[in-house]
Amino acid sequence: MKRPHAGDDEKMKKLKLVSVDEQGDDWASGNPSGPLYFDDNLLFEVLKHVDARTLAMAACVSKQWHKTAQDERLWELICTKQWANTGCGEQQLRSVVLALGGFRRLHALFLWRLSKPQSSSASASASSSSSSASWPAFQPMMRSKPSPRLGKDEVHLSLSLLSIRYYEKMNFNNRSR
Amino acid sequence: MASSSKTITVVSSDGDEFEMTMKAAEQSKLITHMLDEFGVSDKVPLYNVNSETMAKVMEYCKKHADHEAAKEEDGGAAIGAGGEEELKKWDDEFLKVENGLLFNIILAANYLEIKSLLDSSCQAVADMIKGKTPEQIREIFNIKNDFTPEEEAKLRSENEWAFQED
Repeated sequence: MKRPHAGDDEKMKKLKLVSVDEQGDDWASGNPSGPLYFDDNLLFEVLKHVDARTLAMAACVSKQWHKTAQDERLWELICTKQWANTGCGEQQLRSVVLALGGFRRLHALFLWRLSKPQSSSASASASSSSSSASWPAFQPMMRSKPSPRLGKDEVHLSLSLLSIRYYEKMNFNNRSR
Repeated sequence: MASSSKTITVVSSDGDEFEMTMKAAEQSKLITHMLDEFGVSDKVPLYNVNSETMAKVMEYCKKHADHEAAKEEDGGAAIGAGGEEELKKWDDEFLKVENGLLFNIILAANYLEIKSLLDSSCQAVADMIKGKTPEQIREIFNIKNDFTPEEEAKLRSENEWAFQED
């Protein structure tokens, strides 16, 4: 849980000039921690408690927030919160997902769409260009599942699509060995 | 301090001393470990926590220690479900402080390893930013946007899914 400070101290010093609060708490590490000083640790702990959308928003706030919000552990929490029993061990699943591109990508590309009711297919077609070509075929299935809790099938589907995407991006020359 | 008096003294970074009961001290894993290692006779230095934050943390530990003691005494009868809710309400009020102090409480709870306080205080901050846009988040915490317009546009397209309306 305790991690060393990242090299963002310079930016934090600038923040102190902007704030007008008189508090000026002196954190023992010696950094000028004005009332708005965001320790990386603190930010990580806080972001453990937000939902997926807020986490994505957090990634756009500032460079420090971006770095913290990209952390795979946070996205793993978000993904696994939604999953029912996947039928495989936590560590095993983690290795597979991380090898195939990570939880953040898994969520942004596939899980997010599975967990919200599809009101129109337009939102799917306007999605990022890296989504699998076979995606539109699954739209009818999504509409009948408004519940955010994902079962084994949805999880396996997402993992399969993640694998497909991974192979699509592989260099074809290497594959012919 | 004799161990029979069941209190210990902690010292903040400002040099102020705070007395707390053993039960309250047990709310913090760090303090518990330090006491196990070094015994209760000496004052416990907590130089990562200033006095203002320490006072709040003391208050929290005392409240939760008293709550636990009450639970043990009545065999859980008097506390019941209502008691847990009451404690939650107390926690919510307790955390209604200005941001600087709240962040220091989170850092102190992390350092002192007081899981319940860490969870509650982080949740309080998380609730502040839930559903907000990056610009709104920056406003709340007075954070400088250190992205170039190009970087920001790239980030936004990467996270486009989050910006779409339901």
